[in-house]
Amino acid sequence: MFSGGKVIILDEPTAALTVEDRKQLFDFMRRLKADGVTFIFISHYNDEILDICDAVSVLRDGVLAGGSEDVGSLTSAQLSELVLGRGLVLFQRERRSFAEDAPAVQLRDIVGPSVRVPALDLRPGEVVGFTGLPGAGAKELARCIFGLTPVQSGTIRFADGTETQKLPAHPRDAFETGIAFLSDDRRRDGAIGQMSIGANISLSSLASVARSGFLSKDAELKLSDRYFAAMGIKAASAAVAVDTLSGGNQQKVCLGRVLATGPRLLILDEPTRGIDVGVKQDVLRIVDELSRTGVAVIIVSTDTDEITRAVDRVCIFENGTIARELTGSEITNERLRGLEPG
Amino acid sequence: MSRTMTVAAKTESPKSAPATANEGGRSVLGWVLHNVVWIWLIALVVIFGLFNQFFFTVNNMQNIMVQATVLGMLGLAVALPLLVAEIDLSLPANLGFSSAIGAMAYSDWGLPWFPGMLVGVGVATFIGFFNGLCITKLKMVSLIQTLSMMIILQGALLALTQGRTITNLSDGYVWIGQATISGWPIMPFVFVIALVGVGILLSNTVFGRRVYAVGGNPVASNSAGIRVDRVKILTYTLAGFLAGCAGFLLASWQMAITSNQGSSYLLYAIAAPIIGGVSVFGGRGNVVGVLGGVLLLTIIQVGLAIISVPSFYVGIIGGVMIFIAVAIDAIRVRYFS
Repeated sequence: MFSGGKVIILDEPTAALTVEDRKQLFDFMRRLKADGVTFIFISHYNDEILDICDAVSVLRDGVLAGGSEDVGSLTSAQLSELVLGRGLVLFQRERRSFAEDAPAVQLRDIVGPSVRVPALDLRPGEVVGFTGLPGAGAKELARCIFGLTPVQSGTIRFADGTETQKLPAHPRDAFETGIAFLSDDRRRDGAIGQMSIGANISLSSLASVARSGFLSKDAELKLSDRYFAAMGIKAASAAVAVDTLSGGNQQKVCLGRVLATGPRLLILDEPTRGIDVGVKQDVLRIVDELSRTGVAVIIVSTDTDEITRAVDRVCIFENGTIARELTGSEITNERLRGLEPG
Repeated sequence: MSRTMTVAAKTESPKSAPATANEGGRSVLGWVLHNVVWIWLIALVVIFGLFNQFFFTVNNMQNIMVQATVLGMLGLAVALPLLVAEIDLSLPANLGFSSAIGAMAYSDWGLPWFPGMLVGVGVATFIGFFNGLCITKLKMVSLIQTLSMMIILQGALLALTQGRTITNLSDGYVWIGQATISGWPIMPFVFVIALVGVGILLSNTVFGRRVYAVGGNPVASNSAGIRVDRVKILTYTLAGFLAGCAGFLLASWQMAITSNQGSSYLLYAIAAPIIGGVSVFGGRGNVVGVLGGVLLLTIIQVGLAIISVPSFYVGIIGGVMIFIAVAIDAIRVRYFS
């Protein structure tokens, strides 16, 4: 990796790293730093900046918004305030125990490529976190439930009297059963860039705004305007093309699209990765409000901070299956990072 | 902390006053790039008219409309696979082959002309459907798959006709290519109906919305619950159907089917939608643009003939036109989207 530069620029170097790899990278950087190498470290993770950097410059909307020569004197909240240009209230869900409730969704006997989960129950209004190292099965299970990855076996049953059915074979079937999914890959698998915000929002629920195949402009406008407002998307109107929006606002458009289908089970894969810390709180708040209406939510995330703030229960994946579960006060950053025995 | 921490006083966004003049210039240029077809079209009509007064006559207008019909039907057909970010090169060959099948169903198998014609259009539709299957289910590359289909169909037409020209078409079959209402040929009305039909399909239906979504981003469309393969197969099938109709119209108008019927349309049929703003990258374009591209190419062909440009130069001018159109498409996507 190191070819002898005097100044090394690292742009979001930890995005694809495990906690262990990140530690190794930081140790390596500290050794080179001691030899007089200068680093420019670009990141949107506050804890990384506070951990590895000596000085910080904050850019906002293309201008230098502020900075500090002495990172040690900054707190995470002060840094967030510089990033956002306003005070930030970090979202924290009020966790409660769902152990006594009857399940809203029952998943059984799921066997797919590198996934084997015999049983998983979700209660109405419960937010469950899926976490684990890449390839451990958290993301893979989510994609199986939504029908993006074909499974060998697996059933799903909703509590409202409907029969046990096979997992959907295609996302279209999933939406029709009441399962919605938001992908982690916003660049390849996000919004349709050249289409308007409104057209993106209605894209997964076109049947509900059409009569015998013909779109009803009024019905579509009503639906898209409703979620355009509810998501708090920053744009002049819902007619604006999505590719003019920031990453965070594009994510809100996608979230609006899946919520417009009226899901009973919502699956979010890394819903806040790579979006600014302010929009992140908005997204977590929207999910929290939705769960209060009785929708069961799965959040797949490797961001331990997000997990601790947003969920009631965590499933930790190892070797394609759920190895451990944490609930209530057991869910802490330290325990999730494996620093404390679980 | 206050000693070490600096906060920039200026908080407003950097893109304010100084940029506005530049923005205005950009939007004018963007408008010109988006409407370049219609601007060229008007300019060329004026130029050709100045060279030769005959260009402005009703007779010549009718001629342009009739000539634009077959190219227009074919241009609409080509536009559909382009909108889902694929391509179908076999459509002009499909036009020729299917019309020969339709004519032979009448002359050799003894069917009345109308069912014979339907057999031809049906064959064209099935070939489109088959192309769609190959591209989606077998994941064949559309450029190469349809190129090979083009060669197959051209060869099949030659084998079918044994190099001869089919001329024994029934009166009913050639009627639509010859009929007039108070002096005006009725063939262009078929094109207008197809244009309006495809226009409504693309902009007012669920299917049309899905076509644009699939062309814009197939992976995201799949996750949004669109059956991408089904949408692609349907666009290819519809393109085949339109090519079949174009084949019937061309044979009816010329009252003959040659052993290489349709192949001369290949370049123009692909160029017309692209000139009209249908992006080769998928997801962008509409039928009004296709109409503009079709009229532009037809007017160039007819105009160059009327002002007696030697036929040796018609080819190079057509080629340059296509080159410019693709370049403009690239510039527009690169800088204005």
